[in-house]
Amino acid sequence: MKKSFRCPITSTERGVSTSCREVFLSETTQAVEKGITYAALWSSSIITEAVTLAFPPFMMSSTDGNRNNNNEVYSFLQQQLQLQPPLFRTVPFHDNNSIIIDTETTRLQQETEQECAPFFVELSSLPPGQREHLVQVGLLPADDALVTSTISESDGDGDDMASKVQLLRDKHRQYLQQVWKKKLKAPFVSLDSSRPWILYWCLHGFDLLQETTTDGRDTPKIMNIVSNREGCNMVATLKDCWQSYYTADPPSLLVEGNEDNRQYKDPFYFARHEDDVPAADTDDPNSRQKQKQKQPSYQYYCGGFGGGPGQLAHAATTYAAVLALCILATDDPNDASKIEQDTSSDDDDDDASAEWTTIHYSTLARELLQYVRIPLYRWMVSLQQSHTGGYRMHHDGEVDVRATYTIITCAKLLGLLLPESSSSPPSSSRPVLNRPQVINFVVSCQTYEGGMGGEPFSEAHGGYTFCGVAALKIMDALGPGKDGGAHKQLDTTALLGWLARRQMAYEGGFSGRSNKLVDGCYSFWQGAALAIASSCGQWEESVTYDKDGDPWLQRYQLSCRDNKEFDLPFPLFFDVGMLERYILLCAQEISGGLRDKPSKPRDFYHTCYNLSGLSVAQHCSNRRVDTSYGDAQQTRLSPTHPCYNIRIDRVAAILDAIWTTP
Amino acid sequence: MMAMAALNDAMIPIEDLSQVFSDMTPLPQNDGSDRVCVIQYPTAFALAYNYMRAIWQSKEMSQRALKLTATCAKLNPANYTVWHYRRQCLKDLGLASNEDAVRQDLALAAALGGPNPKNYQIWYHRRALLETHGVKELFCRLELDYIKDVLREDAKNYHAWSYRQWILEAVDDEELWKEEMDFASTLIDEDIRNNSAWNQRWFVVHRGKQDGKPLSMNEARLEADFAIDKGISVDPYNESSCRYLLSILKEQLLEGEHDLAKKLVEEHEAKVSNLRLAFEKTNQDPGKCVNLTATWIDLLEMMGDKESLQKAVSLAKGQATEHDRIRTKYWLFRAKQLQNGIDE
Repeated sequence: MKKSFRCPITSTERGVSTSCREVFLSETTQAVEKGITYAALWSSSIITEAVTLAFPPFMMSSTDGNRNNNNEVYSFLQQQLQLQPPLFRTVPFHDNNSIIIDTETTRLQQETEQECAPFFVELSSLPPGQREHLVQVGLLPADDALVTSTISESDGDGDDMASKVQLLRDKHRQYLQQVWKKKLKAPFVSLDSSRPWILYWCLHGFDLLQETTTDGRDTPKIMNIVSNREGCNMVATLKDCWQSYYTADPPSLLVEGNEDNRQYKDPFYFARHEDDVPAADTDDPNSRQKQKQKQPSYQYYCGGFGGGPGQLAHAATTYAAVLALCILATDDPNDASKIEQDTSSDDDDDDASAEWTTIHYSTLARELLQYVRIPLYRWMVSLQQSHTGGYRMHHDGEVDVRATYTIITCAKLLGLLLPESSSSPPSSSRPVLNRPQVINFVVSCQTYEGGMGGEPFSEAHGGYTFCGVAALKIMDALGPGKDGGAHKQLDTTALLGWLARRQMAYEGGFSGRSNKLVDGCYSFWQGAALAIASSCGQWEESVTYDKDGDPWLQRYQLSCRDNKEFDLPFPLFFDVGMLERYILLCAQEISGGLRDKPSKPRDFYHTCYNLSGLSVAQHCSNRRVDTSYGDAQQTRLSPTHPCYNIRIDRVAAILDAIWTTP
Repeated sequence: MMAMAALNDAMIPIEDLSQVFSDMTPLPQNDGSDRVCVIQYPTAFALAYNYMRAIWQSKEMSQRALKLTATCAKLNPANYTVWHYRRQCLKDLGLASNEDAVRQDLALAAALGGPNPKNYQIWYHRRALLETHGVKELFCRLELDYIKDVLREDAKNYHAWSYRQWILEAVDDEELWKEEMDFASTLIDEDIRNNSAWNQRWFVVHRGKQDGKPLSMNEARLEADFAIDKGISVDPYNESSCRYLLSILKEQLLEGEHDLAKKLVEEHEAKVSNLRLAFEKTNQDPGKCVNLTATWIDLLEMMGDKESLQKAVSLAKGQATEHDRIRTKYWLFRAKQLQNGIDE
């Protein structure tokens, strides 16, 4: 299998054979000798490309295999780079320069700090040639006097080029939009049960990178996210993932009254749906005959979204699908900004009657959400474990706090989670979700450390902590005075402490658990959890904010109304600049996309969550208190809602939507 | 571990698919240009899953359907529908309560998972099989040993630990709880910073019960001493042992006998305070051990008297301004919280 390898740095084309590994290594040595910046060289895009060619099993092997392959190459590079003049500061090890005992944990932590260290070089201390290269790849701005200055010296304490570091917006957009412009290669079979996720990660990441247009308008407006054809294709794909079924027996937790006098009053479960199958007419003699043959009565149409066509409805893929549909549904059917993309040359025969030529994807998305709303509710209820308050991820599937979060989020966005006084038990006229039991289950997942695990007693973990905290916030069960006595309260002080300790003092990013490694995706899981936890404490005295509402939505509404920026009435309890620094310097891939840490390859998931974390850092922080890292204007993303992780204006629009319930 | 031959027996070879399912029409998926996130499936993958979809639609539960799920699970172990359907076939074929069949399926899951599985579906399959069949002594031992093997590869595998907790709770055997305590201690010996092992210790000592009953004073004392003797005094930079100590004490204060709890807190505040002195004796600044200071602050807060709280406020400010600046805002908030405690 002949392939050629073009080194992105030296641009030399090389044929590939079994010795391509040697080719790659000699290539990098040459590059180093030419003075090419070690930071750009270190980028795992080059490593990944070469390693993919050099070690064909790379793409199919486990993560551990990747790490081993990468480590070999990296240690060679490390050796080579040490020949260069010392460019980075001494690396402080974990826990303030001291390790008393060497263990696996401390070894891995040291390695991680070492792999991040080269990226933390003081940019002003780099030789001009290397700075020029960073400009070429887009990490520093062109035509900047400080950047192009011939003086190269360390100013000792700070880094005056910090405010110049760029986000590679175009490259990230190019990377993300592949999933709707091209087909994914074979190794993606491992994500064949996560296709709504792939769509959500890329669509949301792309959404954060949106830019405004003034395009003949009075006020800047964010453009529609994709072309109409692309959007319609997305809705069609998600529609294929819809998996429905019928049930004649509503779950017993909906039933009130006794055997003779059952009352079914849940307004959502028993709403009529166009695809329900009515009971046979009891006056019809034929149906009496059918009843003798045990013909079932009223059949309720239920369903959820699976990971692909024909796959079982699953809470996580439902969440991803619903979020993606909310993004699409809240675009503007009159926005003409992407029309050229639809009319550009197309391989397929133009079918003039194709759906996308006559209807806008936002309408299709809204229609699909309207259609699935009631059946989704019924399916969600069927997943509830009444004895614990937990939910299963799918029929006969695992129970953990992710299920609670994904289900509660979908319910809230689709107007199925009505405000309910948490002190009163659900009555037959109230919806079933949001019962005190559900809250108690989430609270019971808080561990002695303060964070939350997947199930009670499981180790405190960033992903599950986010799920628990966000679910409680959405259910309005967090914060002072939110306990009517009907459910347990989360210990928010302990939570805040655990979350704050997850930010790594050296790297600046977050780890998922105590004594584990930094990972870019936790920028969101931990960052957003902190944004939510921060809202649980004392607020500044403010007449503008209503303590009982959603502060992020309120701020959005206020800024729309008054056409100016507001700060949130509470601080953000993490070091914003340090997180941004980690994301911009260590997580960005120079060929587009973002990653866990420098030694890991980019992927859509990490791209989505690094960017989401960056958005939280930018928008949930306080301009008077927090110092940002990087070029604040150039790196600015659109604001994501820390509970739902889609753009705040989209959350507002969806929560305002009027659903028809027949 | 399942031998290659046995694994192959559980599956239908790709080349035999058309023949085995000659009576069925495979169901393709729409992966055309009007769809997104389309994956270029290898031919074998597409073929197997086209038949799998046909089977799902027909709802056939048979030996060949069972084998097809194994083939498909190997191609994508994350396909939860495949695993779910497999379990339905096992039930339908009367195999779910058959000990040999369950043992084979556990071996299949192990074979497909590899040495360090991080796949929800594979772990859940084990649990679902045993939820249906019942854990029983035989499977309990087998599973605990299997999990131990996985933890040897990765002592922090989250799925492995969750599943391990479920087994122990399901069986709830005193001997096993005692053995597990030893196991957690061994892992702490091997890596004092293995937070999963400390978490497991908490789980075991509470016997997996969240009934609001705290540990007895004796047990709490043993645990607090363990945290100091085997944890903090060995490596004060390690967060795991500190959080463990603090929570043991806090639980006694909140839910145990208050006066005894207070005394226990005082004893341990003194021990931690002494550890800080040890730094000074060796000409090191104890402030550099951020973790130890944080622990001492929480202990002083538990002491609750004015002098302790004032000390805590001052230490918190020191963390904010000098020693733990990445958490400046958090420490300032803590200082304020502690100050409010004094003012009240």
